[in-house]
Amino acid sequence: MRSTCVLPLCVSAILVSASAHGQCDADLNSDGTVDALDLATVLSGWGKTAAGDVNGDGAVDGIDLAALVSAWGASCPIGQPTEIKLACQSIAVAPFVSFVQTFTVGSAIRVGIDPALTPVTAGGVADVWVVANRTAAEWAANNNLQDVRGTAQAITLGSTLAQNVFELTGGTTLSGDGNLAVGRGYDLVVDINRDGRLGAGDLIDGGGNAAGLWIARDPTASGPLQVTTLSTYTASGATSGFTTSRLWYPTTIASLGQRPLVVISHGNGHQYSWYDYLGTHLASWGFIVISHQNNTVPGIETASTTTLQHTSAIIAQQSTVAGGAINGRIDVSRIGWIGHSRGGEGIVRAYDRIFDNTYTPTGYGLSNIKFLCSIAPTDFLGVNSANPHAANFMLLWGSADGDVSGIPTNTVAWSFNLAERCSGFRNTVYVHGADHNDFNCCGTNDFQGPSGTAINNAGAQAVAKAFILAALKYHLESEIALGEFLWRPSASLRPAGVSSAFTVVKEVVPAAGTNVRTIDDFQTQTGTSTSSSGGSVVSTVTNISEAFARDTDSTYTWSTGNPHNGSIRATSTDTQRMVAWDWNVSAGMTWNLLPALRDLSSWSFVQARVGQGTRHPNTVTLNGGATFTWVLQDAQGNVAKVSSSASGEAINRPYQRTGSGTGAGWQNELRTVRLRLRDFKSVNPLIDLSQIASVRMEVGGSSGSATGRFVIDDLQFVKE
Amino acid sequence: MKRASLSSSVLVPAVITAITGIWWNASAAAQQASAPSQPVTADEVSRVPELPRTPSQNSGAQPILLQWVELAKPYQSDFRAERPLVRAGWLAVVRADSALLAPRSLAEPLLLAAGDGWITSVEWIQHGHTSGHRVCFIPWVDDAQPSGSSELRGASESIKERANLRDLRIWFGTPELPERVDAAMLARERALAQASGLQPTPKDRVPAASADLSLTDRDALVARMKQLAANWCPAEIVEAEPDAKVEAQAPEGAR
Repeated sequence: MRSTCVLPLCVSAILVSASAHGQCDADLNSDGTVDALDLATVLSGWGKTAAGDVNGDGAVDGIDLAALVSAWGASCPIGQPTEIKLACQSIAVAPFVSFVQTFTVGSAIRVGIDPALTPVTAGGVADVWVVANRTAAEWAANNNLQDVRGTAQAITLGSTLAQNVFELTGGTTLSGDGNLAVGRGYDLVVDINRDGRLGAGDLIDGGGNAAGLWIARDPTASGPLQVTTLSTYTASGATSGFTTSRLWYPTTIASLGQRPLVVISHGNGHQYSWYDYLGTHLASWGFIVISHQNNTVPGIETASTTTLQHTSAIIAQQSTVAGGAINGRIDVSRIGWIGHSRGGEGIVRAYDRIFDNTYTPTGYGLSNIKFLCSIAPTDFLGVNSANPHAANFMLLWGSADGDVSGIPTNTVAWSFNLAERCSGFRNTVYVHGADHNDFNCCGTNDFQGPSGTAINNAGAQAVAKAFILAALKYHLESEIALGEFLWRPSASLRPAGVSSAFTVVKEVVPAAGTNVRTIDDFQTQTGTSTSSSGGSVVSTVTNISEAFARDTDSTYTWSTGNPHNGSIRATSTDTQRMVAWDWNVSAGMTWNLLPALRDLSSWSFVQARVGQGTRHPNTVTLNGGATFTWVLQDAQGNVAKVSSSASGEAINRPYQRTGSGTGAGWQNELRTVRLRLRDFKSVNPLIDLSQIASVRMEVGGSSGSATGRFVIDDLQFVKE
Repeated sequence: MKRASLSSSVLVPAVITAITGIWWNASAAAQQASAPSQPVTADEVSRVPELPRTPSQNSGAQPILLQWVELAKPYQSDFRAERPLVRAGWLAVVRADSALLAPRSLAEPLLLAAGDGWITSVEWIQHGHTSGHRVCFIPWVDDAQPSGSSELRGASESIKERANLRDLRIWFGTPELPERVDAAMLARERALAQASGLQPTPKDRVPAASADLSLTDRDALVARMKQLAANWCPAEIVEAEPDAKVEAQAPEGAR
């Protein structure tokens, strides 16, 4: 409410106004006292619409000064708004909302307030503000709310979460234009006392540096920049016969400062000129991209050498290539390598050679390689030589690959091996119906799969553009919100250019560290009754097997003697293990947590990688998506259950490709099933997240699919 | 859009068509196999030809051009695990079944060559599947010397004699990465080839060697190979190698 009074004519009105807002509104920095610091804020904002607006009328003026003077010396609670996820989308199962950060442009955006977590007065009215993203420091300097929609949205609060879910008016028109960023950030505020300022008692999603809400444009669409292409240049110092390379860069690069470098290394029988779709796409979003001739015929070592050489060459020759247009514009500290097929293994080998100190590149080093993306890579070299170590690694692979096919008889064709070896942040994107050469323009059609399932070049390349861009922006440009594209199922978050008909199976495993608490990685305790974190494990499932993630009998057919059929993630020299089990009745697996691991109050998610066991009789019987229920139990015995469906999708049926034994179903497709821990609080407010005694995967009966077989790895708690 | 099994640019000299009849037939068969009239329940058939068994009596490659080359500056071969120094060898164009030439990401059949008293891992820079021809270099590697020191010994004439074309065999062996091939593996491959019934190229089908060529180094050798490849496999090489100009005349072996 804007006062029309001016000092000194309306003192009484000012006092009323100050009283209405409360003296503590003058405690602008919320430090507990109305003092000289607050006065300084008013004076510095005098005549503006910035910080210092005590009464929230949109102007810093005499009224604010008077209010501050009248409140001088008042003791106030040290006010902090409550930081909590508010942005959400509706889902079909309890708790019926899913709290997320990232939305695509045009999506319905909801605000959810859970009284179990943040007590609110039922029947009270509050205002929802959508504010352009501010850092924590910016919020501290200016807590006045300005809604990008023009005005705040009044909501009437209810007594349950279901009653407190509100669609943002104008949410579908929020801009995702972040210039070179794929999206734009906003902070969401529920202004409980409706004073137009963020203060004590209010709720905020995005009070830190990160945005609470991220509106992302379509990552399959071209970026904002025009692209200049240099069809060929010659790289000095590259292996004879493999010196030609192509360059893409933003036409306006002179005005962009330094930009990350992306290097594309093609596969065997491919050409450097076959990745225009990717080079152009990435350059339009601000990357400098090269695609070079790759010496793949002799093998992986030689391919890795050309990757290393061409990366050095473009750095060394930037003053002359393209007439010097990119001179001084390459940010050598941010390099991403993308390789396809043998080139996909080649880039990993290149990284491994630097890691092992057997190759010292010129112009850059290991720490400059911020991201590796292997598209359908081979695995000729094995764990000791094709190892991404702690790099950020992404695997992109198609289920209809007729070349690096995943056949159980040849571990060279097991692309997942490389991902499993990675100890850094790793994610995989496995797309049904894509073949090996769908990821370039011009390779021979190698599709192998059921008729009618091919997604062809356009489909596969849309997937490649979307997820490679998202990962590059995440790892090289700190656009963290795009990380949600890497793990949220398509039903929850889908690039507009990727068809909703596509099955895209995604895994993400964050690097070990303080933000990850692993309960069971199935590595260090190989028995089924003890987790790797040392807690006991109790299961009532059948045909349980904790073993190497490899198919052992050269066919994908399931048998009791080959319980990990369809697992192609560990060669004979790899050590990757997983657990597999099946059920036909209500059953489950319970991991008891050691006391030191029970406080989950500051953790964000529970997650595991879960896939259906291919060709198992139960999988065949189920013939569709599988579900289970996560069950948390606290030390007092309180139980909270949330269905895996809350993540957005069921665990999909394996791609129905035939061959390599009897039946249909290709390799075991693991996906990360990740749920917010607060969801458990929403379904049962009594659950004490600071004392979680056990976590359980429950199947059958009312808990999920009546029958099935799961392959599971990496039960973890993760911080956002 | 995927590249068709055969680029229209391959349809250059009709004579190549005749030479590469095997490829044409294979391609036609593959196209027929992928016709939309196939039952919808069947898996679609990959248009990458199935790899024939190698080595076998049918895994030979027919030389249609041979030229002795010596380099002033040796280079280290990437096609041998020992990375030997190479100073000379036979520049060659061979013709083979397209199924053997087709690019594969998994291990491809090793391309090997042997004469009277020698065997080597053949080097090449393009697959040749679009035309049925592969341009390659048969390096002279003296396995009698310690690994990695296969320099020439003595006068070049004697070396050329040692790299003789008597009982010449050029064939596709066991699938493997060339960079992992060592002398022991070559010995095994020779035995496997002999056991498979692979015969030497008949004398009357060994082309007369072109005039010897002296080149400065591997760069010059590769340039020459690309020049030949631009003639013999234009669909593969011209697009990727703008500097490799197609020579005006018809391919030598096709005349």
